[in-house]
Amino acid sequence: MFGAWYPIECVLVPCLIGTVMYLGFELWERRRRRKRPDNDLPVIDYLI
Amino acid sequence: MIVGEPSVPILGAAALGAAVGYVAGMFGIGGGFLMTPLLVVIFGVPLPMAVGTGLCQMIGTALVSNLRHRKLGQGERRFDILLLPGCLLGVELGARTLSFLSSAGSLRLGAHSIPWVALIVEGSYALLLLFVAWSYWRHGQGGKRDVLNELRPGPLSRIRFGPTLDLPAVGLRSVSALVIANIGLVLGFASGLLGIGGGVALNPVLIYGYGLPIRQAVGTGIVVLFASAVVGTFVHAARGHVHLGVASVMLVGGAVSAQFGALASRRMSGSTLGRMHALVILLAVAAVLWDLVSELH
Repeated sequence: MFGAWYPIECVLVPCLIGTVMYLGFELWERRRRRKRPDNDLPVIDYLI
Repeated sequence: MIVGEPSVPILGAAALGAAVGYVAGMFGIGGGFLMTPLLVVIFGVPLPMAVGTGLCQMIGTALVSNLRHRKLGQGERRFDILLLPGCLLGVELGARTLSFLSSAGSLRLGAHSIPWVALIVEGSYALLLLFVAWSYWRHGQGGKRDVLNELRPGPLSRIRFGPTLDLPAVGLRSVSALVIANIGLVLGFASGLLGIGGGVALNPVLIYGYGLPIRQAVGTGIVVLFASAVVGTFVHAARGHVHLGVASVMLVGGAVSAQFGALASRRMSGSTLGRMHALVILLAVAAVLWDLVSELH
């Protein structure tokens, strides 16, 4: 059903998705700051 | 389209991830405490698989939070370092306990029987969440404290048992290291047994036990949550208890909707958010109890 590498895959895949998500958030924030520098950013820093 | 075994519809998994992500973004939580019971109740995923899958999904959210909080300079790293050893040990203990309970058979109640694993895991889940909901509801009853930014040392910060240390990033002095290490052990055990990241349990401890402002509390302990999610996922995956497809789909769905949840929370006051948070936790308790009752046969 699952191989010896499966536990490592299960750790690496969400790490990869998480890294892409982080980079996406950063890009989105930069664009938002450029467009509306006076507007506060949403409370995403609370995401835990 | 169906993802892996047990069969879970891909759109259903994405929708569940999006719904939990919205709530997570709104309240600043990971949502692990909602994910596990909803996987069991909605999709009929076996409990050990739901626990492992919830932990796997949490690796992604904890990683993003960790990177963001490091950048924003929020949180107290010394607290994380003290939590870590106990937490890692606790995760392994929790996963072993879950495996043991899975093969422990059922408890007979007259003409009915209920599996020990459902009774102990879901019963602990409901009790823990009820306690957390009560904390948020009680402390959300007004009060003029600026919970976002103001430090008000709580009862746990006054314990001077064993070696003590200062936590300069959050402004606490002479805090017991042994108490923090033991909190890590309990947190890790809960993580390995129940599949929660621990944020839902750690935040009330930090905010009401230590009196940390919310901005600092949410940045504290995330290294540990990430580490416990990694160890928990590894341990559960080695036993075949992780559904990688479902975890990945929910992670992506949740990431997008969390942004909308965070935007929605800006229109609400702190006390409204606290009470809504308590109600969402009660919803998770209702889901757990529903599943517990349906296990009776």
